[in-house]
Amino acid sequence: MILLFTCPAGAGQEALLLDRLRVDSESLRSAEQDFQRHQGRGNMGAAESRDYATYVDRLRQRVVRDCVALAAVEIAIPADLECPQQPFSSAGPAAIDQQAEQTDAERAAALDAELSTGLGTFDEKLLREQERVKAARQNTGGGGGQGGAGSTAEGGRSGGLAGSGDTNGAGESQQDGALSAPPSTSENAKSSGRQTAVKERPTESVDENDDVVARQLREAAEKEADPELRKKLWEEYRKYKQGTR
Amino acid sequence: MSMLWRNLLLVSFILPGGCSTTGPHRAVDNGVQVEKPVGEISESQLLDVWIELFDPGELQKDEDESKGLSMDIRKAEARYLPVLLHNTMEKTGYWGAVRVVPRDTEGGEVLVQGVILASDGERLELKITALDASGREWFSNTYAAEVSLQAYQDAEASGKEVFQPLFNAIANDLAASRATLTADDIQTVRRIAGLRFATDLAPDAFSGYLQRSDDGQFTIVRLPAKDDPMVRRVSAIRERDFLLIDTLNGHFDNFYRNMQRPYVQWRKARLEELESLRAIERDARNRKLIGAAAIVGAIAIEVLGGNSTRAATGSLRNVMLVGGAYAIKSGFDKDSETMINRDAIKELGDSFSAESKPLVVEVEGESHKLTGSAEQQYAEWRTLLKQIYATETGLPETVN
Repeated sequence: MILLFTCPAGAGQEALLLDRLRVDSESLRSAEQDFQRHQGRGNMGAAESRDYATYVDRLRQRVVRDCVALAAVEIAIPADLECPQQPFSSAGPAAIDQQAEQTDAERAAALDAELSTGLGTFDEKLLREQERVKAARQNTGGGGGQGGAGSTAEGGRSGGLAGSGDTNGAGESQQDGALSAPPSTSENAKSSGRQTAVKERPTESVDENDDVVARQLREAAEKEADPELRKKLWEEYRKYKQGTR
Repeated sequence: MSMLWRNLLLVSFILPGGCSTTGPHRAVDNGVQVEKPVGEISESQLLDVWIELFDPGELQKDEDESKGLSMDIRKAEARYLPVLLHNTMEKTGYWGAVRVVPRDTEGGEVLVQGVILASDGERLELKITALDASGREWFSNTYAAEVSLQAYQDAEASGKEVFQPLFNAIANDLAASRATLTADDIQTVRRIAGLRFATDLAPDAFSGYLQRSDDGQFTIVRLPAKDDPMVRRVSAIRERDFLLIDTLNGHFDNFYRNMQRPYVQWRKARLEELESLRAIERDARNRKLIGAAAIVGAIAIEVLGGNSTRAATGSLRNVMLVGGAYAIKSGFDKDSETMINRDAIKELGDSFSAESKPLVVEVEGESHKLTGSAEQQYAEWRTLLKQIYATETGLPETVN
């Protein structure tokens, strides 16, 4: 068993811990103000308000954790920074420095889980925002035009870093390990609670003599598992077809 | 004035200089169609394009030229015109995802930047610069087109944008530049874009993969391993970055849709007033010239004619003098009519400014809210990635 001991804080570590507390405190302050402003205006739905409150609470917990870490290495909290009080009084797990008891692998897994949770929360937030955008468009009744900015529809790819098959250089023979759309999209779907729906075609007939762009759109829509994205793809397909008639 | 005549004028204005100070200058012909690839481009050969919101540029110094124009209108156009280019490019089939992004956004594979040099409903002039993620500049061209009232009527009937040929020309030039790249070049650009994003997000883990030269060119030093867990994490965040930009694009698109009708109407009405103004100015000038000629003729008879001529033309000379004076007066009256047109042009501009300004404020607000909130989230992820990297490698966390 590997025992981890807390080392005395060096100047570098002290600066790092203080820096982290400062960044987290600033994020918390800004998020709290933004949250209160939106609540004051009454422009958040119940779900959005609940999610935002969870987000603020999570930020608060981060600040508490930063304070605990500083206290553990006996660094005084600067006067311009505050530590929230209530979690300090809670008994139980705080009595044991769980972080210090974890192995590196466990700690990395915990951080990974935190990242995944953050990604899921972010997905939900963006989905809600997209719903709001869609609602705004319906309220204004569109205005015609030639289709809109910003779909990922057009046979488009989405993110993914190109990784090589090895680490020995950027030679031509390297296999491109692009982690592109399909796996990540399904990951999005999972983390954001979206369901895989039955594939569907648009209500109007699909022209089998589509040109290259229409075909790309149609095929992308037919293959897409995510219902939101699939709907957008079919919308783009219809708009494109209308534009070419 | 016919379209042909306008284009000839424009070309003759442009050709003597060859190139303007802002780069190669291109007068766009009214008939430019957007080009599409012959076959389907494979997914591995598609490049994503990010079109930055345009720089609104500056208004012309000449008061007459800038009459009824304002920076509020320009700011609206700086958000409207990139969506037009987006819509044009998206339909070509040459590209992956085409997105409109706020200025100074990092992470695109191909970046298109634009400056509005002139826009008054009759003439549109844009400076467009395109570069890829490696820092290589594809081109920096100035595109100019002029349209007539007839073009607006035709565009109304067909539902097309009156300056569509200009955007077609830009899209065609971008496609032509892309065609000069080899398959390997395209792969490299895609990899560099990904690595630049990764380096920005997790510099501890990715700073050794890219090298930046003094002139801003990026080259790949090495690539991360295929199964590197940091690559997986950063890729997941990049997916969200794209989602974020797509959401932003929803706001830009709503803005475009809300702007479209009033913007088209303003440009057309302004051009109508401008044409009336020119016609009245021509008429006023002609009347003054005719009046002056009549008076000069009457005086010439008075001075040069003999006694008999003077006696015989007495009445005529009086008519010429009075008529000439009247013609000159009516010329000046016409001048005052032009003031009505000038005022109308200004009022049209003021009215459209008042209409577009709240739309710009709204889309800016939505954009700031979304990106501001995302920045907080990204700051958290940066810290997390730093901690994960330090934990997994045993290396100490660096302090930024």
